[in-house]
Amino acid sequence: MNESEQSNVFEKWLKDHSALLFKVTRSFAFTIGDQDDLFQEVSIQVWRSVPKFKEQSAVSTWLYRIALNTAITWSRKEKKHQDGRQDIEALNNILQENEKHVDERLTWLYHEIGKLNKIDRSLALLILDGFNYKEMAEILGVSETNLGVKVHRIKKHLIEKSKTYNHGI
Amino acid sequence: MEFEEMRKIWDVQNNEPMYVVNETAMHKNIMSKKNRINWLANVNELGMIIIAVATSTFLFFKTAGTGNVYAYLPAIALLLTGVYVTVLRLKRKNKVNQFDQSILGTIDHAISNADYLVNFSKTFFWWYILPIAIPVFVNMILKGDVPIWIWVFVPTSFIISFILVRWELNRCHLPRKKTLESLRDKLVQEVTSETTS
Repeated sequence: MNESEQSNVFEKWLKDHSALLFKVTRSFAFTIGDQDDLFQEVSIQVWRSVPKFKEQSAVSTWLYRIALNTAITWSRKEKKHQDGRQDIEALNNILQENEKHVDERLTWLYHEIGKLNKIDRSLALLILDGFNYKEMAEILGVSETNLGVKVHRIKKHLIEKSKTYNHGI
Repeated sequence: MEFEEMRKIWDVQNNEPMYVVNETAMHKNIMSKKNRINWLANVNELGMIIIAVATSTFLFFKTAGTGNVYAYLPAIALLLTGVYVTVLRLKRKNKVNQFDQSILGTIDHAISNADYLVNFSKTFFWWYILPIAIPVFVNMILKGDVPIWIWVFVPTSFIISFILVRWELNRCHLPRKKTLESLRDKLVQEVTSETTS
């Protein structure tokens, strides 16, 4: 695959699946500066992954795997490197929330997802996006055995939390 | 609230982008990255030129009158290195006019400077260490009575400078270049999706 073909695939993936990448970014990075940073990191990893994609799974499954692995690694690194950069970047952020898209219930949902541990957070995204157990196991590299229990627990947790939220959920 | 309703709220994101790109902020970010890389390139070049010329001048004065022609070799090699870096710097400066003032022009300029720093570090062994190390060792061999600690100290210094430059390459220059390239990709992707939608 030459560079031009790689660019074409990359651009198509970003165009078709940008929502997926934004979801992962927003679930793992909580300031706009960090979201910029993580989005860039995820984009780089997606770009690198293009030649390795063998069409054995759906593009969304592949992208989720790349994005979640990158986000989990990024958040580990980020804890070690809190050097005040966030404040500086917040002044000049590149990504801005689409005003047409501000839904308080969605903001609440992200807030609750963000409080989960990294694996549960990843699972929550996949459950909400309708992946089945087999796909979830493939994306996260875990066995399917205990997924049912985990998925049930996460759903129950979110439903319980929604009872104390008074903006429509 | 049932989980299915949460899913419906969640799915809205698939049809409408959650974020828009703030181009002014992006331009500012890119300008600041470009200026930082430009500053780094200036520091690298000027530092190298000053060190090369100053050390060369010192060696010329120290060697003058000793009658040992080979003792001039390290001084000449250092001076040539200084000249080489000056030529590289002039070439880099002359490239400025190739880039326009648009966001893409600015980022291309920043990538060009980042690329320059990557090559500067990658080829450091060939244009700095090797041309200086050879005459230094030739001079030491011909001199004959060089203490053992100098035989340890001089190669160690060359090895340490090589390691430091490689470290700077891997830890600073290459990641910075990759970040800029990904920014460019993101920008191109945004422009493409805007023009096709």
